[in-house]
Amino acid sequence: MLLRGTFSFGTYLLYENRRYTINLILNIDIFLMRRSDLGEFEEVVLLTVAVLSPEAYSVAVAEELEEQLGRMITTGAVHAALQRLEKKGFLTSKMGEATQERGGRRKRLFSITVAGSRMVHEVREVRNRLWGRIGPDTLPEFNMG
Amino acid sequence: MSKSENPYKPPRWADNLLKRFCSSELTEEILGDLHERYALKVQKVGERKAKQQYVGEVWAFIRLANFKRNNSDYYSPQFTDMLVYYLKIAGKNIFRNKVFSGFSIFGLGLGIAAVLYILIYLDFELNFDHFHEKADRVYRIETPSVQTHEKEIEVNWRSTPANLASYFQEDYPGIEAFVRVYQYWQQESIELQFENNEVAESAIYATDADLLKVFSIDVFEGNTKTALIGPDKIIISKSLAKRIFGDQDPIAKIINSNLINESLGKNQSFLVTGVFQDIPKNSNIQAEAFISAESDPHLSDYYFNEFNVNTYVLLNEKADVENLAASFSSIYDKYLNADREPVLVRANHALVPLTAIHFNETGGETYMYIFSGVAILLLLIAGISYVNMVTAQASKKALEVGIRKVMGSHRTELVKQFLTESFLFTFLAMVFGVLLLFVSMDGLNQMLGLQLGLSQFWQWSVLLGMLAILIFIGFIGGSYPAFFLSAFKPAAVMKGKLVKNVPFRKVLVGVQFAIVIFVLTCTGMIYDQLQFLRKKDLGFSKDQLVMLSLPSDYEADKWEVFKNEVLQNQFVEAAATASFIPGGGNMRRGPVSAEGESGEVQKISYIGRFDYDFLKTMDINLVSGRNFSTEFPADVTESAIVNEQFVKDYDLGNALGKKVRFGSKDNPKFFEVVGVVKDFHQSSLHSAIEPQMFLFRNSDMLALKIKQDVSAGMEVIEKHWAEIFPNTTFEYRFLDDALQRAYEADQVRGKVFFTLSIITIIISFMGLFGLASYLSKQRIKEVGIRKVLGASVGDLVVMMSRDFVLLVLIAALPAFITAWNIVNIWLENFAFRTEMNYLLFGLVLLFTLLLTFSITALHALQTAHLNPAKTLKYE
Repeated sequence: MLLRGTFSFGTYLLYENRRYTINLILNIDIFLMRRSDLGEFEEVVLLTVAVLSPEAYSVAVAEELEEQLGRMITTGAVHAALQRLEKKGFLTSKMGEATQERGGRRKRLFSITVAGSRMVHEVREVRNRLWGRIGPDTLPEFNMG
Repeated sequence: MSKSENPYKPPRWADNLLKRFCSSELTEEILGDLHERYALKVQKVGERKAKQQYVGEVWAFIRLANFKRNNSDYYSPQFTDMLVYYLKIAGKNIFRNKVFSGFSIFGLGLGIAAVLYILIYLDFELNFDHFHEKADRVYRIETPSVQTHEKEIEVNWRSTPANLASYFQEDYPGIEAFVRVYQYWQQESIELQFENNEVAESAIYATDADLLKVFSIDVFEGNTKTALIGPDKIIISKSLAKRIFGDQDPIAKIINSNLINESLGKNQSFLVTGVFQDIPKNSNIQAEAFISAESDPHLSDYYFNEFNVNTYVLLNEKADVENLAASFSSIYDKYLNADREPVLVRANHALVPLTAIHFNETGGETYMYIFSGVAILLLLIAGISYVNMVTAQASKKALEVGIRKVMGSHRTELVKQFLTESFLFTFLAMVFGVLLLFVSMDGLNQMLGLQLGLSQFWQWSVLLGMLAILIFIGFIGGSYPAFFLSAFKPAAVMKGKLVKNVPFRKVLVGVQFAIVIFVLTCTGMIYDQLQFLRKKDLGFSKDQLVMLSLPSDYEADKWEVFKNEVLQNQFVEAAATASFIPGGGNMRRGPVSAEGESGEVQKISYIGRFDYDFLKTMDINLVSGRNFSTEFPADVTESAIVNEQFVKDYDLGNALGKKVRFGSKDNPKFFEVVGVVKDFHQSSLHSAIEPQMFLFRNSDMLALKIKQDVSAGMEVIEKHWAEIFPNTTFEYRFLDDALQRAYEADQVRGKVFFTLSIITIIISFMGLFGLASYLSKQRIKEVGIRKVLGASVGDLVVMMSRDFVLLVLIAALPAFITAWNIVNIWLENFAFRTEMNYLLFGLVLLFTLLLTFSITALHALQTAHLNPAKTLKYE
């Protein structure tokens, strides 16, 4: 990471051949999160995209997740996760049609790539293997409410 | 589908916030998402809750990944991306028109150099003595007034009695340290001798050991703590050390001096105990050497009678300055013994902050304001001149604007382009100005009698000032093309139609003329006064007069021998002794009363002494009565001569035969007035003529009136001197030179204004030159048509110069009035002023008009001589 000052009004951050104009220092962690594995939230988002496909876009995913997880999910958080997934190559996107609620703006529709598909499968397999190895009566009993 | 048809409208501000921060390629989907989600929320949880949650939604989108950025996929240009390009174009524009650029940079640079010099000067003056680390706690004790048994007398001495300080430490815990700085010797300079090397130095002071504690004097060799403790110690400056010792190490060497220690009956010699770095020029204490106070053989004898030392005190941080100063007079009540000191009862003291001393002594705020005003004027005129030059380029610029607009430039880009160009220009001018300043610094210092160094240049205040100048000039110079020209319609401009903002330009030129006339008038008025000072009849003759001082180890009677000796030779016409230099301001003052005077208040008179030949030598006439004479032996002890002003002030009528006394009328000792002299100036023309009383005595100044060849005369006199006063240096002053010294500060001001007027004229007429060339080019076609229709060259020249001449006339009146008022502030320093020279106004006006006319006419002539067939060919 290279900080470059100029005698003008902004400061550039040069990172992987991209120049970011820093106006406010916020959410710096975005630079540190580029790893190829899958975060927990990203995994859920990725699966939801698969569920909603081909009509998967951030609002729909956020609504779906809110229903499934029972807590408030902001569109921004979903949007960020979608962006990251796309950057990692698990998702691909194209612009869809506009609606009245969107004020005439188009939405970005996401679909899963082959890499994404392999990723969810791998994750599922890891989970299955782990589930299979849990001995009987190991997990304490409780009522699924 | 438009946004307004959406039934659910989320808060507008949040959208705006997002638009501001988010990359433009992302705004569509993000805003769309937000609005859709909002609509859903309204249906689910109601509008109020949805609105609340909306803020959180927006906030979640404000993250670095969404921020505006330049990336290869979606590139949006920044100002800084264009900057390099702007600079390139600006550079090309500057090089394309070398004459114009050269003129502008020279004029602007000249102005900037002058302003910077003033800035450095102000910085120098305002920071006087600030370099002392404890400067904020150091005060000088001054004596505004003294109380005698009879009355209180206002004296405004900067000094105190020498023994005052010793009571401080016992009685005043608020005083951390005190330092006396004084000279216990009479001669002007001390001769210091080491081996065969003899050096005369006047800037030597006796001082206490705490000097180095109070002032930040950097002793880099020797022990700071003990250097000034004990008798016959000396610390010397680096440069004096070099003069005395050359390359030898001065520490622990012994210097002989020509100071006599009377009690031991031999010359004093001093042990060098330290060497200090030369004291910065902006300090009140300008010393080349300090002698320990204990070297003073009379140190323990001083009593309250003599106010001969400067006392500086270092106060505690918590000291109460006001009360402390007031309580000093109680020292007198406590320690003063009336038997030992019959006259003085008490003195009132004031504490003057070290950093304020110089400021108060040099005229304080007024001069600071005048110089700041001058700097602003210069900056203004440089700015206006530059704007005029830029305006002159407007037709070319307008074309550039047209083409740029056609090629798709936004107006904001044009503004940026022109501002960049202007800033680059100003920057170059500033570089030139700084170089100019560096080159001319020494010359300026010498001419103005200042001691500014380049070291003062690298300071925050000066550098900030430079930045301010850069921004100011850069902006006003660039604003004309940037904001006026950039608004042009391309089609109109390219056809050659220019929007004319004539009133704006006329105001600028008018202001410039006003400043020129103002500065010229000031210079003229100051010059008039300086001439007046030089020529004014002082009441005595000052030409061919040489003043000599009696060497300190001789009695005044020795003059008699010397006088008789020199009067033998053909070069000396007359010789006389006196206790003062006429017009030199060194006559003593004291309370004097006269028989038959009017009024109750004790009057003060100047008191001088001279011998039989003084009036003859100085060409001073008697109004009535007679001179001191050998025929009246009583004259030596009982007679006095007074001046006309004395008679007038004491209201004596016929003064002859009246008795005058020192002090009050009860004084048994009196003198009888035997003569009244015509008034002559006792000091410089800054002050009025005051009552003067003269008694007979041989005194320590000798005035010689030289005949014929002065230099040959001085050689002969020097020979006589060497015979009668062996082993002393022959020092002399010409009276007229010595008197001019009182006006040194005024002459400096005269020179400042003279320099200023030259700079102002150069800068402003350079701008005028550019403007005139532009205007004449503008009117080429008009002139062509007029010529075709039969106008003569003369008509055309008059037509094109008329506007400027008119402007000069309009600008003259306010300029004259301001100059008159400002110079009168300065003239108030003088009790004697030159009469107003109304011719001066006419001369200034004529000069300005002539210069203006010749510059405009030059261009007009050029244009008028063009062949109409050629100028009208193109359309």
